[in-house]
Amino acid sequence: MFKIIGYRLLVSLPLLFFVTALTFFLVSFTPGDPAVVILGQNHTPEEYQRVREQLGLTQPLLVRYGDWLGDIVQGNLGTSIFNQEPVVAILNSRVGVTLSLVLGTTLVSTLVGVGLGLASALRRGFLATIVDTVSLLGFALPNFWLALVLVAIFSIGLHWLPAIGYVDPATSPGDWLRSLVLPVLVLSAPIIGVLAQQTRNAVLEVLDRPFIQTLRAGGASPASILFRHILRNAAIPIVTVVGLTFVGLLSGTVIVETVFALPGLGGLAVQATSRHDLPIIQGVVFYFTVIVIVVNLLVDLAYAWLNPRVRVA
Amino acid sequence: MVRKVAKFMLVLLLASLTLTACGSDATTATPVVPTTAPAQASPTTAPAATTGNAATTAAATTAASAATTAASVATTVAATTTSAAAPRGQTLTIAVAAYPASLDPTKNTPTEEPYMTLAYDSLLQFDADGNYQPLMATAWKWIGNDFKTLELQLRPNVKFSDGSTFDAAAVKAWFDVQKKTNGSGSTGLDSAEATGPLTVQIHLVQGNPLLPSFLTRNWITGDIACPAAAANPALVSTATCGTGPYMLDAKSTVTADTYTYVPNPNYWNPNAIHWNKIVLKVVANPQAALDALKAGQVQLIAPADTAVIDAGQTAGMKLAGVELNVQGLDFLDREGKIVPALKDARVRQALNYAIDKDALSKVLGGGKGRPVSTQFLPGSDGYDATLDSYYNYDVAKAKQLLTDAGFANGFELTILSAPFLGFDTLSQAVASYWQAIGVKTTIDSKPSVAEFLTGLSSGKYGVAVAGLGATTPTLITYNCCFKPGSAWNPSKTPVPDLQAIIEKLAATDATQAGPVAKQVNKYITEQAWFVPVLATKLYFLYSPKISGVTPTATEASPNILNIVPAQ
Repeated sequence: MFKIIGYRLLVSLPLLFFVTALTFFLVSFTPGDPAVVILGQNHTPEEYQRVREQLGLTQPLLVRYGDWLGDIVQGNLGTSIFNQEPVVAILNSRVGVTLSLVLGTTLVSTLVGVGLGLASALRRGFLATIVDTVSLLGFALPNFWLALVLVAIFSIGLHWLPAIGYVDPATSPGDWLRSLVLPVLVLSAPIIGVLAQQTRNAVLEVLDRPFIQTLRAGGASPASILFRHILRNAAIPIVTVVGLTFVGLLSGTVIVETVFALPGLGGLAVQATSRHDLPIIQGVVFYFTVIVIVVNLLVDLAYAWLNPRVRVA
Repeated sequence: MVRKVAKFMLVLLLASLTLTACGSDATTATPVVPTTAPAQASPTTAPAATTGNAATTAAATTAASAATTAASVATTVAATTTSAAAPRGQTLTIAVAAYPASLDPTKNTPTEEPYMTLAYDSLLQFDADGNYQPLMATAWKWIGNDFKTLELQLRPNVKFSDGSTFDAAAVKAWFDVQKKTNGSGSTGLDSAEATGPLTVQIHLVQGNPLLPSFLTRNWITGDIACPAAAANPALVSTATCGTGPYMLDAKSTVTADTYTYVPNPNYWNPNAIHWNKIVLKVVANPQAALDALKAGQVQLIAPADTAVIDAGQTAGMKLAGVELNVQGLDFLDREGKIVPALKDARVRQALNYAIDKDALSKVLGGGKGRPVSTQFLPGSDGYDATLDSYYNYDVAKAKQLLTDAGFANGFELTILSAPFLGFDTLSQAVASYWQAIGVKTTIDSKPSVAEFLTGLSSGKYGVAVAGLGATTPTLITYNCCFKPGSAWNPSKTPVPDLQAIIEKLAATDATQAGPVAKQVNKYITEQAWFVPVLATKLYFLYSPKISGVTPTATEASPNILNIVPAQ
């Protein structure tokens, strides 16, 4: 197991380097000039030059990237071009929102999706039809529309849940939970369908295998068959989908962040891109890359736990 | 067992749904950070995000270039700004659409005014009628008759939020910072001089009778930060340190999303603090802002998108607003270099007469517009109501003017347009009216603000859509929008007739400027520099649970400090 962890981390370092370098150079070459964004259209050449020097934009690109890498080693991601606020502080003030959304959505969609898929596979018939219908609905309903409907019912109509905003769990755990319910439901809707169908198909495939019949004939308890054999064998494709879902959600929360006015990393990335605030963009990419690496590592560990042959390989 | 597992999963599902239903009344909960949106100083001069900058630029430019000479004016107002103590509200949350790049007053523009007003009492202020009133300066007068030196008597016994003393040395230090950092209010500033413990003189490079207006909250320049910030301006880039009633609570603030302000314990006039907390919450989506208002999470949307106004009013919300913008077109090529016909004023007048502004004002701008024939609006010293209907819809007259000018068969032109702020719709509507008098129009729509602004100064277009409403003093408007080489008049060719009026205006005290400013309006309207179509308002939608949302012609953005819990 430690070998797997060590190997994955070793592979991740070049990946981190590659992704941040690619982002740095791509953003640097895109049209737009932060000095112009700061100064507006009416500025003198002297003002323009002064701002570029202040921002360090007169340095060669490689030097700037080298400086950035050097700072990272010291835990410093630089400062925002626009307000000189440390990037780490800005990101840390928002990463909790994104992680709450993504983890919450993954948890809810996994519990509900796997539950529905399992029930559908085991009971089949009418329940399977319902699962299909729910899946289709989840796919078909645009998330912004679903958000509007949920807000109209639960926020404006019933006054049960907030329509916008986020509360830090340290301020009020209860309000934190309430602020997440609607965004998480909206994000979960399409994923639940995917996971339910994935789970049903995987379980059905396992159920058809001869060893299940053998176990039943041998008198193994239904719980043992379900948890030790069916779910464990069906889990790998499900874990794969969950992992991919998690990673997809990192960049997929922007619309929901906008609709619910949540201060997450997705919205921050959009703002920073429109302002050409490279340190912020780099910081977001760095955080996302690290999170993706960690998630992939966890998925690999899950594979190894579920299937001993993976450990050997 | 399988059935039990299935039941367990069902319970989990129900539990997750139950979480949804276990909240409390939103009016008491409001957990999710309340909000406020900055009153965009906006559409006054330019489209979208550039508005605030344009306004600031206009101010700064005026400070630099406005003319000289005039009589010495002494203004002393004895009024003190105290109000009777009233129970404070708990939290005022305002949904705002924009956020400041920095909280440093030297880097801010009128667009960010709400973020500054809460923490910085400006040196002067306007009353509801547009008259100057004391705030941090209790009296002020011009020294000499050239409008180059203004002397301010400062309010005594005032402390900054960090406990340091507000005095002439502090004011001078902050003006020095503005000068040194080339801040937004520094253009035209020569120096500041402390001539007494509570007396300071501001010296300008060139005379500018409008200097007092730049010391109000509208223009940020009069927002003075504490001596510690003057020594290290970085202190106020993510925090506040002023003499205002509130100060930023950094721990409850998320940059570009939520700005939380709490009462300043050192505030000189505690009775003017009406809330235990004020939150400016950035909500970019107008529908989300309306939902939050209806749910009771926010109490004010500032400003409100016209798309949600009707729904808001239907839901029982209140509406306030003043005219701030004129949607229309700008004849960029009055010299006829690109479209020769436009050199003749009769042609430009014909293109004005050809448009049914009454009809368009009912369908454009959310149907809430007012047909106009001038760029000047109430609030400007140049506003003249008699010019509002100068160009009434008259196709026959339009055709006759074209014939008189030698263009009876019409001509072709291209309109520089853009998809934002409804500009393309306006262009298409105008084009159809011009088609009726034989003028064939092509619309070139630029997808971004930057491309549009580049097009304005490119010299390639004869006509452009314009969102320009003059509510500021005419000298400011002139520098931003009418002066040769300015944003909305890119031609650098001098206009002697207008220049003569402007020079007269610049030598006139601001309180006496009306008659001269109206001559500017008359000249531009008669010469048909623009095709004004409809005037639109800047709207503010708010909850009946608050009062005091009172935008004025002088200050389109209502003063947040006047908002109180409804009785």
